[in-house]
Amino acid sequence: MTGKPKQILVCSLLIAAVCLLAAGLADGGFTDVLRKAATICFECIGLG
Amino acid sequence: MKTDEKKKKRFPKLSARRYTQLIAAVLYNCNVKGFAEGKIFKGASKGLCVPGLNCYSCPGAVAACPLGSLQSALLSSRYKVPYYVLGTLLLFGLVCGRFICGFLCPFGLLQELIYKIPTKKIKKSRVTRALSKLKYIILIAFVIVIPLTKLSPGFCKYICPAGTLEGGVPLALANADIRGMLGALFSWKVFVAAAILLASLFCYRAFCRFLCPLGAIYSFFNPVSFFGVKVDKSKCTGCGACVRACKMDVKKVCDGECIQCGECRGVCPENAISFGYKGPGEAKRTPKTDRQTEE
Repeated sequence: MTGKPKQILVCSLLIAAVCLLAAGLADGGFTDVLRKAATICFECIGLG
Repeated sequence: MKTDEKKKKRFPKLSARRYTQLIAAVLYNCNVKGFAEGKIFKGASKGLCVPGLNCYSCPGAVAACPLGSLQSALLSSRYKVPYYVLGTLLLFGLVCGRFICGFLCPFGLLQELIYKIPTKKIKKSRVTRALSKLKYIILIAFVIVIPLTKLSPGFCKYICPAGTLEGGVPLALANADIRGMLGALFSWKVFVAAAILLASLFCYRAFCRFLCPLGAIYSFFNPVSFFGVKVDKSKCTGCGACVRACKMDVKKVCDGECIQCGECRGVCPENAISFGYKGPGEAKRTPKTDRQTEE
């Protein structure tokens, strides 16, 4: 894919990424990730 | 002259890529105190995801793993749409693509260092190219379907070698309580991690090529990412030297398997390959060398 179609696709994806991030931040996504990452993940370390 | 050569052998010059990989690995895991105490970092930076695969249960980790966060978000997706994690992954992919695998992944660095140990190496072939599709199956099955249906982070729980090596082993060594809880699942994960590291000795970046679901996600963005390796179409003759020199299972520069390490720049006889901004809409020509590169 080259030229204008690619340009449109990339711009759409960039706008989508920014919108998703903004919606996620407003929705408390940052806090959810923080809560999960700040506690030991038993599955990750192999405790189940 | 001889002393210079000896020095060069003893202290081989590190490439800019190697420096970047080392700096990224250190920055991701700069909570040194955590390794001694056997506790993980709980600061606000853990609400942010790093671009590469780096377990957030590593005592040194100061930020979150994007893949772990995605699975965790999918676990609770019945109640909440995971906008934040999806947006983060989309942004990382769009800006860098698999440049992240080549430059910003600590587990990729570890595999490359292991591969440097001199042994007989397995070269890329039709078999490795077929195996490289496995990571997409793992992405669908372990990262998406299992978290959505079985309500457990399938990849973290059953496969992730970064979790075992960065999280499980250091925590078990430093924390007696955790050591006391180890069981069959930990043994399984140690076996998987050991098998992957052993495979990396003979096969270049075995985990990245065949198993890594994060690489699979970023591979979709490789053709449209803003930064990375680009080919000057006016110089490229389509000789295929780049694809033959590449240790990944690429069919052309910058396809889904390309980790954008830029090693091909040195072998291009026309100097057509470079790093930089690949602006939207910029036309590229890459050599069609599928048949030429079969080994």
